[in-house]
Amino acid sequence: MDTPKIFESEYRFCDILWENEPISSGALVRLAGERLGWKPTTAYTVMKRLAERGVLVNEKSSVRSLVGRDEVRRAEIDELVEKRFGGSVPAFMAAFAGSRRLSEAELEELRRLIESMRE
Amino acid sequence: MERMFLTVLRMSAAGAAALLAVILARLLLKRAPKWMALALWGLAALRLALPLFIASPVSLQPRAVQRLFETAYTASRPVEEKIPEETGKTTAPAGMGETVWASDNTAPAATAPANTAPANTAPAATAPANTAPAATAPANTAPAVTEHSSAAPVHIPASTEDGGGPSALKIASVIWLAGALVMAGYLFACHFALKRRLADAVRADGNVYESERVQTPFLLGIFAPRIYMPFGLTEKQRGFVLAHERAHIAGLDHIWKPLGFLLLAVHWFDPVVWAGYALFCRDIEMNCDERVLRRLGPGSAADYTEALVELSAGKGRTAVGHPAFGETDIKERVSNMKSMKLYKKPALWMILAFVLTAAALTGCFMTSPMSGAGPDGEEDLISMLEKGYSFDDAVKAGLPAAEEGEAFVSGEDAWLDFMDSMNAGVTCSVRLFIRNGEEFSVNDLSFDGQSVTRLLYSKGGDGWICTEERFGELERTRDPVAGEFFTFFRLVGENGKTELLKLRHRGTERSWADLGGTFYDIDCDGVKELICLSSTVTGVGYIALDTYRGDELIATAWLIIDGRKAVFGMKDGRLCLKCGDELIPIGLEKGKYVFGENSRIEYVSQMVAPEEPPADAISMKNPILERRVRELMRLPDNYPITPGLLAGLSGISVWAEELGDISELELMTGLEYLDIANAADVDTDVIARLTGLTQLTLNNCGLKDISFVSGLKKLKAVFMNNNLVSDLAPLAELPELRALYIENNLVSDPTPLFKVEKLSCVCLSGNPLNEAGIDALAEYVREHHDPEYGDGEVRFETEPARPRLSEMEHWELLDALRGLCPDMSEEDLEKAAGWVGLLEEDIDMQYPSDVCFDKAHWIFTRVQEAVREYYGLFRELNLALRGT
Repeated sequence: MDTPKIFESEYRFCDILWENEPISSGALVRLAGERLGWKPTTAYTVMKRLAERGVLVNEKSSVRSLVGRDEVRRAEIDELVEKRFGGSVPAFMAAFAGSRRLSEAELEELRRLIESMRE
Repeated sequence: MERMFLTVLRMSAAGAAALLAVILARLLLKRAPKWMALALWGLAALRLALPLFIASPVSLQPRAVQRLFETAYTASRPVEEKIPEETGKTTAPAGMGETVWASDNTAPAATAPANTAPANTAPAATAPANTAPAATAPANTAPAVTEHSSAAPVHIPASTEDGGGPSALKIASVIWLAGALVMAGYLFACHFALKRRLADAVRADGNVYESERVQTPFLLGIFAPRIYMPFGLTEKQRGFVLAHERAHIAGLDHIWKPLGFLLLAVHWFDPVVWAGYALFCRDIEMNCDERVLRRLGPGSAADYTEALVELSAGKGRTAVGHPAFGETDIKERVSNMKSMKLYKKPALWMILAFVLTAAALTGCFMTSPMSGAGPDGEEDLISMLEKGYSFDDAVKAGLPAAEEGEAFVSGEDAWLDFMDSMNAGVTCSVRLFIRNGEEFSVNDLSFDGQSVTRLLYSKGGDGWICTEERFGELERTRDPVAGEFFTFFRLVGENGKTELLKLRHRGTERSWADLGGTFYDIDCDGVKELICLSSTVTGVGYIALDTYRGDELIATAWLIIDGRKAVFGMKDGRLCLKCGDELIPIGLEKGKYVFGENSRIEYVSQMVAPEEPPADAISMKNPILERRVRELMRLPDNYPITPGLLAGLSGISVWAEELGDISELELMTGLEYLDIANAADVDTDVIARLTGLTQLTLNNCGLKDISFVSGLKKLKAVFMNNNLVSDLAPLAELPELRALYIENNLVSDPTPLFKVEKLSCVCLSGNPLNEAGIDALAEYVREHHDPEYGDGEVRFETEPARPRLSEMEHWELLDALRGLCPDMSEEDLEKAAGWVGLLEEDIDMQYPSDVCFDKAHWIFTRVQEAVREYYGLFRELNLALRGT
């Protein structure tokens, strides 16, 4: 199953969900108001839109996500790598590393990540 | 709406001139800080937004243009006559009001010594004569006032077309309104659509929101503006964007821009306004850039510019009316920033150029040319006067100025325009300069459609003072009784009180003051007239005596002065009554109207025949009655008489010895007053059927039997002097009878009158009554009288009303003859006195000599006439009948 596409503002909304789920829809709307400056109607609209796309589900006023934060991030990176780097992860990494100086700790973390992928 | 459109057109024309001036000045001020340009835009915008037209002598707006607009206003009046626009005719009532109160504050009216205020000597200002109902164009006014009408503004054709299809003006107005609504609607639609689209923008901080739907940062909202920007800006970009947008908010640009767009919506048809708006948007952004860089310091200029370019490149506009970061001509903005001298203060010449332009804009474009037709607020009048503004200055400026009781020295047109407007019921005002000998005063007259307010500026003890006075309400009513005759009455003197002016009509005098502003049957013809006469502050009279049926002028009135018909004429610019070949100036002296010397004034008017005679027109059989009806109702010979017209007559008096068939009186179903004195052949059967009569006069008719009156139950007053009546019994059946005049008849028994309950006034002189009867009657009437109709007195003299000439002392007799024969010498009078005794015995005696051509014969004939005159014909008749 393809991970559904999530826009930036929707992602910010999902951030709240991921941090707090499961959460009542009312509480979620309130949090969206506090943190995103959204009106309740906007929050409900976005919630409904995301539910239609299978990002979250609202059952008995309790909201939980159907896709995780990592999954979404991965899908975005996949899309980016596919689109801009012809699917080549090394090319992507090279570009990424070239634009930013990585600290030793970050490099170590990357190495561990690559090790884990091999398994 | 047409008026609104005309106002907008005028504002647009004025605004375009101002905008062009700003565009020019903007080129000059290219290197100057942009706030200067913005200030100029603000002035131009005010010009576009305010319907106020303040008069100024230095205005650069052509007078001709102004005149055209005034004319158009006047012309559009019939279309929307019900709502006199506040902006009508160069009037700025609000503005004037402020001036007024300011004046009052600086010099309270109460401190004015009453005797120095010219209010006392100034004649009445007035609600003018009202010649026409609001809907009537001046063309309909009476001939009597056409001299005025000719001075009225020429009307553009639009006004005459409004009966048929829509006029060009109307169509244009509709198109304009539609365009303006579409534009304004677009602004609001854009705003709300954008707002909805950005509902899910994520708040980053305070009023800063991020959204993937935004490409270029911008501001949205009026009261709580939000900054919207795309996600993922770098810290540096973000800093610049925020600095820029916050500078916008600080400068309230998010309000000015949509306001500017609204102005553009109103003036959408004006290309200059479009150009102005576009340039204004640029200046807003450049001004904002300047503010940002002034704050961040010149070092950031390069980075700021870079951010600007990055964020604007290839991005379409987001919405109208909102300040946006990358909006409007980036190239110009960048070059502006390059050339900007941030640390230096603006050069002196720049400031000078700015101040001059601003001053010029304010002085020349914010104002209209001075016009006499409107009060101007260019400078507080009082301070002007205190600086020595004089009557001559006003004359030089061509403002309405008049010498008290004399002609206008200048500006008469503006004055007449004012009068015309008032007559048409249109809001108007005028400033009038008056010189009265050494005294000089200024009158600000404003008419609000109902009443006239006068602000009188006069020189008080310490300086100029202003007093406010309000004049009476203007009558604009229909005849409540007849419903069709329609005339105005206004006679206003000082303080709105009606002026005492004697109106002479067929020997009776009525004071106009008694009329009290209601309809009144002035000439007793059954048609109630309202006479309109008023003077003006200059003493120039304005009189209108017109009768209207609905809006249609049906009668033209004029005054009869000393028996001659007076019409209006102008001589030496002064209103006169033309009376024969003589021009009598109408003046006002010490608050009283003056029409020549000792003039007697009667009211006469003439109906105007309709083009098509009505179907029920009749021709009257009795020529004497017809002539009288035409005379009374002021119908010309060709005016068709209808039963309806006759029914409208409430009274008629017709005196002729041979009256003939009077059966046509029965057509006058509304008849209440009838006077057919002197007729020898009265058909009493006809009179018996006129049951509506309340007053009947049948003097000198040779009546013997008055039984016909017994059925006229409404009769209140009966005049039957000099008849042969002996039996009063029929009068006993008149329950309403209050006044009875039955002198010189053959009544001996007054007892039937004891049955008349309301009898209040009886005159029985010259009747052979017994004394006991008289005393009884006197007591009866004293007890029963209605004080409204009489004092309960019974007048009765057995002796003739006048003392006998022959019984007078000699000197008394000479005195009496002197009055009767003013052409006789004293010597002749002595001779004449000798004849009096003989002539009293036989008034018809012949001269006892055959020599009939000498002086003595002449004296005899004169004295014979004199004695006849002294006793009167009726007396002779009565004495003869009674055989005394």
